This record gives sequence, structure tokens and C-alpha cells, in this order.
Amino acid sequence: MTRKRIVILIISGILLISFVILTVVSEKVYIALLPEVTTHTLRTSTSKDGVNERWLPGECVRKNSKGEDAVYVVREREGRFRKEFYAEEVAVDVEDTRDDGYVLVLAMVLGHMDPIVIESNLPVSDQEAVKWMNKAEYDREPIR
Amino acid sequence: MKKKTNIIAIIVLSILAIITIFPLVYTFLNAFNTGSAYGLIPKEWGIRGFYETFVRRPDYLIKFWNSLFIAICIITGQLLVSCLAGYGFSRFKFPGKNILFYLIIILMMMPYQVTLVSNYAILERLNLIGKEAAVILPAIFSPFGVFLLKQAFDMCPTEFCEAAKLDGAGEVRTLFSVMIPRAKAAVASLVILSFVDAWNMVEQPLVFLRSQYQYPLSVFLSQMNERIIGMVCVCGILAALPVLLLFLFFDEDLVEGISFTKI
Repeated sequence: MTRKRIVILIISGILLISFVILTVVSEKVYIALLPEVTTHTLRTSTSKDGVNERWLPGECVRKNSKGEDAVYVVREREGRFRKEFYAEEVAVDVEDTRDDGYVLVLAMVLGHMDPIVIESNLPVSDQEAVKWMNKAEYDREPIR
Repeated sequence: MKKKTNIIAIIVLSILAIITIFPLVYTFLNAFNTGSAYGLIPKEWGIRGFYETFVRRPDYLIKFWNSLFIAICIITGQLLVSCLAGYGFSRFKFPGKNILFYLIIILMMMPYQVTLVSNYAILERLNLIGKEAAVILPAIFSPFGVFLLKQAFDMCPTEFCEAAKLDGAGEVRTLFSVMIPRAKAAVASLVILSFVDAWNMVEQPLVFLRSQYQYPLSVFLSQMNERIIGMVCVCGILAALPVLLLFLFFDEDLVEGISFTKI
């Protein structure tokens, strides 16, 4: 084997090992920098007229990149190496506001007991992976 | 007069070389661009692109590994299939041999998109859609590889095979111990050309794979819409590196192989 080929093999080996190390490091950094979200469980209630209503804390409703009202639902999906949580943006119409700060939202895709993001330490965008801080509380909640 | 012709040739070739190298230089310089505007000389310099690509997010490196895995699997399979098929076409006589070979040449001329739909139907029946095997398996059976190695084996004198047979070697032993070492240049050419083809494939992963985490780097590069220009250019350099290293490793064999098979 010529000297040129040996040098190329050494460079390739060094690059591959570097990329392996960087892959592990970047995965750790990525997980450490994920937005930390706390959720509020959406409960559907029935009004006097028999209509299903969804009341949410006002903090759950945010403005998306287009300036529209939206909420972010935490869902689960297959990630790179393991299952991960992500935020799914759902556009909503705010119909009413109560004195306690709760708002009435209309959105067909929102389901009973859906975890809606109420608080996050970083801005959340659609389909972005997140760290769900109160997952254990959500799992313990009784389904009504 | 000859000196004048030489000077003109040098000028023309220099201009062509600059035009060819210019995109690479542009990409390399803009890898250090931390702004949002392209420019030959970036106005804002920094290593933010490298930080975003190699440290902040693992997406690009994971797609690099996806590309490498798919390319290595395709090359390994292609080499095996092409060596066996090329040897068969070169050394054996069987009914329909010429018709079959012409069909392979016709397939070689067709763009991949022609057989994409039929491939999808077959892979769906085999329940392979969404798996890496859906991209790897169709690519293993390459008509170009069969053609290239058949031509290379045709150039080897039959006396070598006869001598091997006299020594008691079977067909497989003759292929791997006699024919392939003699056609080393063509094999190296096939490795490089197959790697470039597999490394740059975009349509097949887009159609046959479902999860974005399975996509190779080529698909990701085609869909990049980042505002950090440095990151786009660093990903471009990342995609070009393996091809460049492979070419530098095999460049002499590639030139010899292409001239050897008269392509």
C-alpha cells in the first residue's frame, strides 16, 4: 500500500472516531437543551345546553408563528434512539373568557385528557421535541 | 506559434478550473458565515455553523451515519452480485445469454424513476416499505456493475482460468483468486461510482422510507431551509468528505479502470 493511501486511511479513521464522539456529545447537548414544559390536562365539560366545552387556563393559549391562537399538545413518537415527547400545535378559536382567567376554546382535534402545555422555559414550536416535567402527575390523574 | 497555443490552452484551462473549483471554495468560505446573507467573503465570521452541526444538534451526524450504512451495504451487495453476474456473462455460454445482456444494457440506460413505481409495488408486497432494506435491495442489483465487470473479465486471458482449472480450482475459486485480482482496477472503479451513486440518492429514500430519522444526508441537504448559512455549508462539506477521501484513495485505479474497459 502506498504512503498516500496509508495517510488517507489514517485521516479517515480519525474523522470517523471524531464523528462518533461528536454524535454522542451532540445527543447529550440536544437533550439537555430541550424546552422543559409543564402541562395542564384538558377536561371536557358539558354546558347546561348539553354542549361539550373546553375551558383552559389563559396561559395555555399562545400565538404561533402566523400570529394565530394555538395550543400545544404533548404527544409521544419514536425518536432517534428512544421514544420522545414532542409538542403538536393545534390552532384554536377562543370563544369566551372567564373572570378566573380561563378561556373557552373550540378545536375539533383536542381530546378529553389531552396534556396542553401551560408553561415552558423556552419557546415551543410545532413538532419540536420537549421534556415533559409533570408526566408523572399526568399518569396519576384519574380519567373521568 | 506553439508557445502561443500553449499560453491560450493554459488560460482556457485555468478559467475552466476556476469555474469548477469556485463552488467548493464558496461553500468552504461560507461555512464560517454566521450571518443570514450569502457572499463570497462573509461579512460576519464565526464557527457557529460548526457548533450547530456538530455539537448543538445530532441530526446531521445521525443522517451521515444513515448515509454511510446505506452506502456500505449497497456497495457490498453490488460487488458480490456484479462479480458473480459479470463472471457468468464473460465465461459461460448459455441459451439467451446475448438477449439477457442486451436487456441489462437497456436497463442501464433507463433512469431510475422509470422503475420506481414497480419497485414500490414489489417492496410493499414484501413489507419492506419504511425499512432501510427497501432502499438497499433494489440498488444492489445494478446493471452498470454487471456491464463493467463483464467487460473487465473479458479482457482477462482465458489461459489464466484454464491454468486454475488444471490446478483443481472450481469456478468460485477461479473467480475470487484469479479473475477479481486481475480486474482490480475495474472493481475499484465500481466501488467509487457505486458509492457516489448511493451517497447521493434522494428519490429512493424519500419514497421508500417513512421516518425522518432514517433519511440519509442527501435527502436532508435537499430539504434544508436553515437561516444559518454556515450550517448549510458545513453540512455540504460533511456530505462531500467521504466521497473526496474515497476518490483520493482509489484515484489511480479509477482512471485505469475506466480506460481499461473503454468507457
